[in-house]
Formats: sequence, C-alpha cells, structure tokens
Amino acid sequence: MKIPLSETQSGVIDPILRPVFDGPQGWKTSLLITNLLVANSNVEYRMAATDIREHLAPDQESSDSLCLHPDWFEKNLELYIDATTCMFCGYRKNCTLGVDEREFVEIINLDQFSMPSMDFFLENCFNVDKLAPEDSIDPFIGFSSRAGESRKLYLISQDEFNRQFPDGSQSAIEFDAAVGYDRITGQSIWSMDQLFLEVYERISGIIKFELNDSDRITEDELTMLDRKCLLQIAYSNGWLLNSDNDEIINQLHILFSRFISILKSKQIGPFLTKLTQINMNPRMDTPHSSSGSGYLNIAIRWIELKPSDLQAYCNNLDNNEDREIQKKLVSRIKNKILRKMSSDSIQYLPRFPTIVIAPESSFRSIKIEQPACRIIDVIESHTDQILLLIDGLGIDLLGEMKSE
Amino acid sequence: MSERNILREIIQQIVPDDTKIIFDFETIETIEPLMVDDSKNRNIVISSLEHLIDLPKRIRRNLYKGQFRKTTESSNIDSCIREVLSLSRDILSKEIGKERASNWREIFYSRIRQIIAAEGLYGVLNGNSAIIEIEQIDHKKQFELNETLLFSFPGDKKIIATRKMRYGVSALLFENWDIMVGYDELFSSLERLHIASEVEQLERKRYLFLWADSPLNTFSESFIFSVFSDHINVNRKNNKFEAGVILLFSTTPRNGPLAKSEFTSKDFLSLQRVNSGGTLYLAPGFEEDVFTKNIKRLNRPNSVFELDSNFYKDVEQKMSELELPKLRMMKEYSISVHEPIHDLVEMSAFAISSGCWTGTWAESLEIDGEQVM
Repeated sequence: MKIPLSETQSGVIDPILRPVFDGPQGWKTSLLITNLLVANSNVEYRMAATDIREHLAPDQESSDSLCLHPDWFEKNLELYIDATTCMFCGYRKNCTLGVDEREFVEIINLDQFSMPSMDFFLENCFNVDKLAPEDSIDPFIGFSSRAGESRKLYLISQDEFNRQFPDGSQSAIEFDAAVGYDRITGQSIWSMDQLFLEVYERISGIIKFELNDSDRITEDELTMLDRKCLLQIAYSNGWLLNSDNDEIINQLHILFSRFISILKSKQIGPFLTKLTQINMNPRMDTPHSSSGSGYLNIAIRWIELKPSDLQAYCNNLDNNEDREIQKKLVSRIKNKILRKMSSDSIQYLPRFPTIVIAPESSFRSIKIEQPACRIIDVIESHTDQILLLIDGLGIDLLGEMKSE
Repeated sequence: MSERNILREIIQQIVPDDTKIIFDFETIETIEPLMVDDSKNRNIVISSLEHLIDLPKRIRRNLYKGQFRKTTESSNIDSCIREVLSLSRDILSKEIGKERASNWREIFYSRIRQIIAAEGLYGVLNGNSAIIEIEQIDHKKQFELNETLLFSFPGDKKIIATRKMRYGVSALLFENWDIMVGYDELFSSLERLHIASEVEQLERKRYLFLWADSPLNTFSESFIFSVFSDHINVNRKNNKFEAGVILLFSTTPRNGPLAKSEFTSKDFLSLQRVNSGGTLYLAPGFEEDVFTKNIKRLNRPNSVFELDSNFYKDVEQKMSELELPKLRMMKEYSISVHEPIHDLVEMSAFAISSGCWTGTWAESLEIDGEQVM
C-alpha cells in the first residue's frame, strides 16, 4: 500500500479509458500496435507511434490536455490527448505527463493479517496537524530524518514484534529515554551505553581478565556513593537477595571493583577517561534509578550488555572459597543471551518510532514504551489485534526478519 | 461559577502576564476557549488527559517543524543555520577542498540537530556543546579582558573576532567585536542566527493535561489554586517544552454518584507517560474525623495521612478502585496537606500532580538523545 505525503498533483490524467471506433474491420488498433512492435529502426518506430497517436486521438471536447511532446512525433501537430491515447503511446515510457512525482510511504505488511484500508491510514495517521496545517502530513516528523520523503513503513502485530524483539531486561525498567535495542541480549540501550559500546568495539580485543596476586581481594575502587548505588541496583536486578549475608555483599563489591580496575587499566583507561567524566542522569542517560561514579555506571552496563565478558572473567577465577561465592554471584548476574545473530543481521537497532493501531478493548494491555520501540501515538481501530506501524529509520525490517 | 471561569481566574493569577493560555478546544469538553492574545510568547496549552498519549509526537513536531515548513522567511531558524553552514563550508573548502568541506557540512548539520534536540536552540550558541566559544584572557594590569570569539571548524577552533572588555562592563553576545578578515559574512550570519533563536526561544510551551472525577466547582477553589500554582511555579524548569498532569479526585461518598468511577481506556493508557516523583495533595472536607475528633484535629497535618484516618482510607480505596497503584506515577511521590483558611468545603478531595515524559532529552546534562543512534 502506497500513501502519498501530499495533495494530488495537477497534470495527472484521469485514468478512465474510452471506447475507440476501430475501423470497419475492427482491427486497426491491433495492426498499428503490431507495426510498432515489429519496427526495425527508430524511424519506423516513430512512424508507427505517430499513426497510433493520430488514430487514438480524442475529440477536442472530450480531451483532458495537450500532448507534451509533439516534437518527437513525425507530424508536429498540437494534438489533444486523453488516457486512451497515452496508454498506447509509443513515447509513453519517456513522457512526463501523468508521472506522479509526489513523495510516498509504502506500508509493508510483515505479518499475516489483513491491513486496515488506505482511507483509514489517511484519516487517522497521515492527517494534517490542525495547529500547523502547512507542515507535512508525515506522522514521523521529528523522529525520522527521512520524514516527509518516500520510504518504507512496516506494519506488524504486537505479538510478532514481541517475538522478533523480546524484552530481555533484568528488572522493571522505564524505557522512555532509551535510544536503541540490542538484539542479542534483548535489552534497550541508553545514550551512555551507545557511547560505551563505540569504545568497546575498539578495546574488546585488549581486555584482559587474568588476575594478578595483587588483585586478589580488593574493593578499593568503590566510593561510599558507589556502594550505595550498587546495592540498590543489585537488589533491584535480583543479583542480591534479601537473605544474602555480608560476605556475598562484600564479594559483589569485589567483583565490581575488579571490573572498574580493568576499566582504569593502562591499556583501556585512556579510551574511557572522557566517558567516565560525563554527568550521567539516572533513568535518562542510564537505565537505573540511581547513579554512581562514571566508572561504576559503565562497569554495571558493561556486565549487563556483554554477558560473555562476565563468563570470561569467571573462567579466570581459581577455586578458592571466595571465588566460589563470586561464581555464585556471577551465575545470578549473568544475563541471558537471547539469540545468536547471523553475520548479515544488525545487532544494535535504534528504538523505532511507532504508531499503535488497536481496538479500544485492548488499550489497557498496550505498553507505550517498549524495549525496541517508542509509541508516539495510539489510534483506535476495529482490527482484532494490536498492530504497530513502524518507521524503520532506514533499516530494512523485512530483510532483517528474513535473515533471522 | 462556571468551570471555564474557575480555570481562567486561577491560571491567570498564577502565570506571568505575558503568558498565552490555550485550551485544546476540541478535547476538553466542559471548558470553552479563553481569549487568545497572539502578542504573548509563553504558552500554556491545557488539554484533556487522553491527549497526553501523543505528546512526544506533538512536541517533536514542534521542535522540527521549521525544517518542513514551506517558508522562505529569512528569520526562519533553519535557513539561518543553513546559511552558517554554507558560509563556513565555503571558508573551509579553501583549506581542505570542496568535497571534504561538503562532507564536514553534513556532519556539522547533524551535530546542530543533536544540540537542538537535546538543549533547544539556546544550546547552539551557548553552553558546552555550542558551535562557538568565547575565550577570555585576563590582563589584570590594564583592568581589561581580551575576548576571542572562536568557531568550531573540524579539528580546531578558529578565531573569527576579538574584543576588549573593561572590568565591570558587560556586552551582549554579538556586541563590540572586531571581526577578523574573511569572516565578516560568517559573523553576520551567526548574529542573525542568534537573533532568530532569541525570538524562537520565547515561544516556550507548557502542556498541562487535566482530569477531574467531578465538576471543578465542587472542589475548594483554594485547593485547585494551590495544586495548579505548585504545578506551574514550583516544578518550573528551563526547558523549551514542559509537560505535566493534574488529576483531581473527590472521596466523600455522598458525592460518589456524581464522580467518575474509572478512567477511560485512553486516559488510563495516557497515564503511562506520567513520571514518578510527583506530589499527592490531600484536602479533607470539614466533616472528616481529622476535623470532628479533637485528638486528630490537634494532630493535624500528620493525622490526615495516618493509617486510621477515615479520609486517608478513602483516598487509598479510591486509588485502588482506579488502579492507580499499577502506575509508575505512584512511586516516590511526596505528600502535601491542603487546609484552606476561608473556603473549607464539605467534599473531601485529593489531587496528583506530576511531570510527563516529553520525548526530548532536555533533562540529560550531557547526551544528545536518540540522535546518537
């Protein structure tokens, strides 16, 4: 389904065809078209096209407009034309008359349901803003850099979307300020994560988890504020349980101190200095409701977003008693890897701006902030399920779903 | 007094004189439009709760509308930005060639979009992310400061103007500069951008979404005034777009049949946008035990929200009936007790006031929002 983003242009011919008197034998048009098809040279082709045009020309009274390219034909006459003339015109492929140059959005159905009608979309999604009628009718203005331009939008059911982009969050998190989505862990990505992941791509090859003797027991890297923040997040994420004793809490401190010491190491530290000095607002720059030092915030998100590194750390622990407690903790913390990605797939996606189309009866079950999409509007419909109209922000969602 | 008059009088007492009050006419059933004065630049848009659902769409459309508006006005912000970009690209192309300068222009344009998304237009020429910077050298002996105006070209910043400032004398951002050779046009263009953004910044909008379970004239006037006043003044931030919700509830049973007993599904959905950390206002009526029983009366205001207070039990019951505890707005809220001096009414009431997610990253100190993706 294609939806124009502006009013109908003038110059588009009314596509109603007209019966043609085809000579006493009733095959003149067929003959002329055959001449056109069998033409051996440009001259023959042009002559045949001229004959067809003359034969199919309408009366002046019933004509829509004049031919735009009379010079091309053998006989340079001002000829009246209509949809029938243009349909069989030899120059049709190159003619600009009737070509719709408006910007369109094409809605691609990613699921197995019947789409709402075009009128429904025009009336409810692509309507003029009463406060700014001169603006584009594109509902994704401000969310997509290509708003107002031709592109594809995707329609998918909420159930299928959940299957494709599941929620792998460890605790109840507010997604409002999240900017992206990691398909491997199913977690949303916040602004600070994005900056960290950019650095991570450069340093992942040089991270070392081997512990020296001097690293054995230390929690020096955590400030009092860090400890308070870490405890809050650990309980909220289920890393710590109310029944846990001080020893487990102590080991949690040690675990995060180690990760912070890796972040501060000579090899990696210089890459992260600037990032760790940034002010990080809870729930805005990071997902959690409290914030510690820059190093702690990054260490927490590192562990949450890169569970394989936590496993690598765990593999380097020896078997003394403290290590056992740490391994127990690691098994609690370790995030699920929801899926493995093929090399063709994109791991990190932006959170897609989305319009919900749903029956009123299902409104209470809609979540307007989801891990992989942000709902920007909700439209009531008579559909029997919750549908999501998604702007892929330049990502081919059909291709992404096929490559899975 | 009619509902519109109640709201009109209350809001006009709270907001500065230069504030335009806009009622979202089609959406608020019981309120007729107020007179709108186009000369005013601060706006309060009052809508019914269900319109909170598409707030991020409305705000971001407003933020970016200049790029889509079919206008050639020279004061248009977007055209000013494009002019700055084109002039700086032309200067740069003499050093690094046309192609690289054009690439840089695209990157620079994205950066400006990010700044606008996160900080508004103010951030383009002011603050840490600004495209210009003023550097000061203090010549203590001469009692003057030498200032240089730097423009962010790729790799380094170039001095485009200098000025001397006497101690104690202030100057506007683009005042008293000696422009360096070759930068006249760029400087003028930046100045035009500054003027245009100053005008644009005045167009601040505060969206207020209102829901009440009973007609407004059944609530104590001072209670409504107190809630609105707090909401508009105490929670004021410096963002271009702010949004909040005010929910008014009655609890006294005899007013029960008149009061709405549930949110519509769209209203309830809209409440998902309300942030935590709001305020719960409690306003017991004069027949409540906190006024009729001596001990409780003496223990006010604490007795109002003690668990054995009949009023507080009613509040909790009403919240439970309306399924409010399911919502994040009921987390981390503070409580305020309202006791009017002159208009204590029979009907007990409570209200919830809180901010809403606007779909911008204005609260972030450092990050340019989703643009980083």
